[in-house]
Amino acid sequence: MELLKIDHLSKRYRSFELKDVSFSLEAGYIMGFIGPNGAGKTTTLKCMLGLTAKDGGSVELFGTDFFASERDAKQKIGVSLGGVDFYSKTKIKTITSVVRRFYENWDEELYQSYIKRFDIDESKRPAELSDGMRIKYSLALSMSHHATLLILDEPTSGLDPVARDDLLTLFQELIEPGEVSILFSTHITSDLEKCADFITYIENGKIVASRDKDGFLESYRIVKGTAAQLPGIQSRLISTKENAFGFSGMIKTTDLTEHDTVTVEKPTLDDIMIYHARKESRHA
Amino acid sequence: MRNLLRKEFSLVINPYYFLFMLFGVLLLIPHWVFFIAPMYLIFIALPNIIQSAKAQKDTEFTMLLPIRKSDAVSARVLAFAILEVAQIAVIAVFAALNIALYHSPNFFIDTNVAYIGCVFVMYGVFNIVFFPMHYKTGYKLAIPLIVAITAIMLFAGAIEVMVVTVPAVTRVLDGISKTALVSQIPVLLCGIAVFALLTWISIRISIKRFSKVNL
Amino acid sequence: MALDIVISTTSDKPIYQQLFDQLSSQILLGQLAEGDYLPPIRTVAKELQISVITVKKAWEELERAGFIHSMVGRGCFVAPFSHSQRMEKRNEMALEKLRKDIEYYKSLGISEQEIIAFIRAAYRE
Repeated sequence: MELLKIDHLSKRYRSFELKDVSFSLEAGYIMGFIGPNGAGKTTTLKCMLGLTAKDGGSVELFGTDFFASERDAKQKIGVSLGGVDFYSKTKIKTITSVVRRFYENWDEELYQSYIKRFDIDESKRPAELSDGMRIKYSLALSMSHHATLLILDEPTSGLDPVARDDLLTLFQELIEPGEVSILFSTHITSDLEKCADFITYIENGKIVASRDKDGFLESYRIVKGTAAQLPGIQSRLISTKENAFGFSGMIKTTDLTEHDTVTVEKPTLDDIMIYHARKESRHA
Repeated sequence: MRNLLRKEFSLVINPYYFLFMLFGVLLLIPHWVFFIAPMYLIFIALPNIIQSAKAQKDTEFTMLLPIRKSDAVSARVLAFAILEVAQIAVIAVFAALNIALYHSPNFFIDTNVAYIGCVFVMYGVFNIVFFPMHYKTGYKLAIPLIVAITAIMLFAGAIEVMVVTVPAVTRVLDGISKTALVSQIPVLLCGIAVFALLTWISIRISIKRFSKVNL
Repeated sequence: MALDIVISTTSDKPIYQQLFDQLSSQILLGQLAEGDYLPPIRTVAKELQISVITVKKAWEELERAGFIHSMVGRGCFVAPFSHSQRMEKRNEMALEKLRKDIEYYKSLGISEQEIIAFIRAAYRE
């Protein structure tokens, strides 16, 4: 079953445009939402949640229009857009006691387990917490009402490697039963290389690809060769980096032929982002 | 809505704003322009509440809760309307005390039942001017506040001037005798109705404007 | 049932291939007995911190190759093998690998005799 279906979502600003953003997410998977800074990740999330008024397109959650049943839909999602930077002078305990009442399925025991797991001191105020702690608190708040879809903007940035690993483990525990899905944006792509099932890659307001991670990684190759080899392949490269001794570039796997004598490597998600970004700046 | 109002009063509106309502004590001044007293709520409490909500990123937080975008607007305006009604209640107590203490009519409007009705209208005027302007952006405060304060000053000024210069108005609104209640109670009831109506319209317009705002 | 899986994230071999290789060899060696249930796909993914889709793909390949069967609602279990079937399967896989290697040796211009000599020498090492 499709938990989330975004169809031709569009939004125009004076200097930026979200163009026909479409992707969907089935139950039980982790989707990484990636793209360079300013590509439209947060704008997409805000548009689909109605924080920002969209200009066109539709957002379906659990098969029904999100905006037609905003309240019910929001009961079933958990959202964390960065750390808690609200009510910085109010005790965490007080904030939680307010939030708790809004959710029909609030699970105090579950919330307490997160508080314990994340080592959060409830008597503190957000202003007294580190960035990492604020993100953890925000996650605890968004995950304690048995949401079926978690939408998390940069949940791992600001966390140390240990905390990040713990969080990724938690994400995989959450999706294990096959009912909950997680959509999270990040630019720490190594997190996704571990656990993401799907990747949605946005660039300049447009979705470049939205598919299974393995397939996404397989669809690109990094090629390296000498300056003499470059002319034979350059027209097929997405972008090229030249150095004093040769070149490296990214190519679509399907554009690679048996006759190419260059060195071929598999890309990482970072590579794909970097070479795509170079293409952007080349055309600029 | 109950949850949202609870949120307004536990996270946004500091309880000490209720202490500000003791500005109602100003009604014990023997002779005064009594419309100034209920304005302190607007001069002090409202801008502070809006500012602190902004500083605490209240809207961003609220929008993630399982509510509609429009609910956030209604809750804020309603919460402020509750403050206004509470302020009027405090003022009514001091108004009655004033009359009981001095028994002497004021040059401007007396602290009578009609005065209370006029304060309702004054708050209604404030709500209809301020909130729709404020929710055009959801954060702009200064200009909507200046315009709305000007509006209520003009309203209060007009009432005061008419009470002094227009005999018909004096007859209906002024006076502290029991018989004056015959004309003043309808003024109070009308005032309450106007306040409710203006606040309701204010909410409708604010919601419509805020729906187009990008957070 | 003792199922051992060790995944290398830096290996050139795709993760689903690593899963396939390790499970198939354990089945061929009889470490996984006929009828043994494999752990649920999602549990494997969680335990190994890899994608559910990757595990799914490995399981599909294993099923296609006849190593496991899946039953709706009950998961996957090791397919029944007779001893001779197991040997046959083993030989088939070994041969396939060998063919690929021989292809490579040929490309280096190594003769059949030389290859056999190499294999003998390497086997004794």
